[in-house]
Amino acid sequence: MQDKYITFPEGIPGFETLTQFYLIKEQGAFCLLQSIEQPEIGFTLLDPSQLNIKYNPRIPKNYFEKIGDGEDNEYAVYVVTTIRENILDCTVNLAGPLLIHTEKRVGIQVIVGNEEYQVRHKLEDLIRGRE
Amino acid sequence: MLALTRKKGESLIIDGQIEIKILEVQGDKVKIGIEAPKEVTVYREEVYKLIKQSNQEAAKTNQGTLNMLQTLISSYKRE
Repeated sequence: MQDKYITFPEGIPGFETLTQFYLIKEQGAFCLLQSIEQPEIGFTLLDPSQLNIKYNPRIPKNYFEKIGDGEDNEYAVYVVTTIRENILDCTVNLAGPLLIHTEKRVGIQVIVGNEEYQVRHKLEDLIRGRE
Repeated sequence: MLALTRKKGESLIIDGQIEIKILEVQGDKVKIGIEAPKEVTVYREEVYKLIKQSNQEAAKTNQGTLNMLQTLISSYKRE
């Protein structure tokens, strides 16, 4: 998924006009989702399997249908992290992961059905496996 | 804003394709059923606002911290 752009037809909440992004693999666990239209805007994403928790988002079916045909399995899920100066202040949004159709290269931010997932979980706790 | 009064079991139709039905009323809580085409996304407003706000904060990344987190993740990664 490197160096090719991904389209978010609806943008990303808060940045609804930005629809084209590069997904750049950083070293290790993180990826950078970099806006093409506004290069100073970028999101640090994390593959949730890198966290020491079981992440089982309930993603409503219509999201899959919106970006693909809902039938195949070519989807990837990333969580958005907020990386602040102090490591203890860094958070992960488990309530709103990004769903990306890896073949069509189309993405959408999902609002999951799980009530236990919040918008701001402490990243450090999830890395250390403290839920 | 358009304000309409509905009773339990009654519906509203928006644009000929979205149906909003009052399923249950209990004290200050109302249970609503929504039937809409699949391209229509429905959110609880407060969750959507939180995600929007969180995205705006997330758009600025501190590179130094990211490098430290990377090291932390590698040290805790499951076998």
